[in-house]
Amino acid sequence: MPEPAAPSVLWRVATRATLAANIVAAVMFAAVFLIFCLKIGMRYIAHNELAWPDEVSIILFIWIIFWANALILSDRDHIRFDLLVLAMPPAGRRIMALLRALLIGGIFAAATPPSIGYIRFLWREHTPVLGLPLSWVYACFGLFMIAVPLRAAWSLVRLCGRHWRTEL
Amino acid sequence: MTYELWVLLGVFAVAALLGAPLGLSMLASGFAYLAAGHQDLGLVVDQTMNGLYNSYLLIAIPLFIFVANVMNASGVIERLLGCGSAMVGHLPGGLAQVNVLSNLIFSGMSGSAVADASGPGLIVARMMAKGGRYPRGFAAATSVASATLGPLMPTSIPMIFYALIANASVGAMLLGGLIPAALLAAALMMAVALVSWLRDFPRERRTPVRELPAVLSRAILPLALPGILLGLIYSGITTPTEAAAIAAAYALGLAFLVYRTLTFAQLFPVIFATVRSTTMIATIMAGAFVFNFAVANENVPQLIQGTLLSWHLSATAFLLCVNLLMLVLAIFLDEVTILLVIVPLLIPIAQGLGIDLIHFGIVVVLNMMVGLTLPPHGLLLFVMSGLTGTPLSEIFKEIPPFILAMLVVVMAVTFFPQIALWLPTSAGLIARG
Repeated sequence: MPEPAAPSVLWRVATRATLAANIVAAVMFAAVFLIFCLKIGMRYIAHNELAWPDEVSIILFIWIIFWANALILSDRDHIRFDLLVLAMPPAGRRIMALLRALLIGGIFAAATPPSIGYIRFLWREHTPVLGLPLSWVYACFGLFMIAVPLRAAWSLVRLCGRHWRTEL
Repeated sequence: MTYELWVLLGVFAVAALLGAPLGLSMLASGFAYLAAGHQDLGLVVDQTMNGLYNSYLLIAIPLFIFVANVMNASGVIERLLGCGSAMVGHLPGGLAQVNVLSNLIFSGMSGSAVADASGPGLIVARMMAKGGRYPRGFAAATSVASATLGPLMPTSIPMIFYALIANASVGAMLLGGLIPAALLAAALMMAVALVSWLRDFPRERRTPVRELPAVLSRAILPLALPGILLGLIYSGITTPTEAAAIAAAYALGLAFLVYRTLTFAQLFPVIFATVRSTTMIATIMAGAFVFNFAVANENVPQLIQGTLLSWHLSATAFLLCVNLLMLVLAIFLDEVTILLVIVPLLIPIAQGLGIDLIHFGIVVVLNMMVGLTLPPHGLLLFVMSGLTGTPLSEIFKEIPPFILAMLVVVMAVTFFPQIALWLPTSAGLIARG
């Protein structure tokens, strides 16, 4: 394969995947909103107090958070204390980014197997209204736990490569 | 302090100083804490997920962020500015007065100081600096100070957080913020008037009385939103979370049906932005659940409590200490982190000293807002400097009169609890007379 083509194909795939992830999150958000409308409508128009909307909306809310965390937001999008980083010259920032990826990536990588083990163990517990296994409900946290070390590893690779400045 | 606690704080401090996202830093330090104590790392999942799963009130936050984003995208701000200009434009420092007033009005929709700064604050700051009518530092400083009004008005995100952690009534918190918000707006307008008078800043043309109804009617529908929200919550027609959904429906109705300034295609970026902001905030929340678990496990609250109690502070002295602490913390930490990590430690002490938790909450939120404007690291200063391209040093030079005005209000609310408590008490939301 010719050398320059590889990143652009990868880049295109990544862009499409991010867009798809964004659309999934948007649909989940729209669903939360519509479920609330339905719930209030049913209460005052049909005089029927539904129990499931609260449960479904909180599950969707949790999924939006960790779905977006795993697949949409980069570290740069998050709230962080960057006064120190911004005061550094590029070489210093590179070292800080390397240490950051090693620390966060390392801790999360070590914690991923026990976390997923814990989530899998929750299959015997169920949500109160719909009776969904908690392991499904909390699976989004597993997704997040896998994504963080992978992202840190990718960041390490880029920081050690020729184009490290674009990673700062 | 135990070895495990040092690990927790050490990992958090190092990760945060290296510039890692604060939420991830807290989660990582939670894992390290458990590993140091040879505990099951799965406890982090337990604390985070159960914490979020049981915080039904939190769903109001993405909905309120959505309301602000829809309003921003549908040109509501221009309508509010027109209204503000007709009311206070002719006062000394006309446009700066409009800035304060439109922030007070718009804050009813956004509830986030940063959203206000990037919404009406940015537009007015640009209008003010255009053609050199006002020094750009003063224009930006006015927007920074005005943005602090947002979180004191209904749909306030910090107030919802506080209600959640203090187990306080959301309705009472929102109502309690109204008079302090009005006082703060008045104090800022006086500061503007004084500075403008001293430095001879321009006034706007006075709007003839017969034109006022037309200007007001253009803005009346968005202006009604805070009232509708409060009405829904107090009457018990909806829970606060459901009221947030109705606010979102109202904003969509305005944008699509009444003003017709938003198309379906434009709605997607608005939702994307909402998801991003929600995730940013919720990640810190997730981390805070773990952090709080560890801190509680180590009896840190009792430790701080013991120390503060051993000083035998009076309620007022304690509140003054909290004022100082909040101002200092807000320079370094963002408001969500302070609310979720630091404030839970202080609530039991406030309770022990007989301070009303609604009063305490208003004092805390008010202080944090002032903290957001303090040099050298107040978040709003950076947001405004970034958005308007004004060097930070120019904003620093113009911000002190506003800070002084805000501190006067902080002191007033600290010493006279009735400023915060009168409305919720009158509405029957606080049991005591």
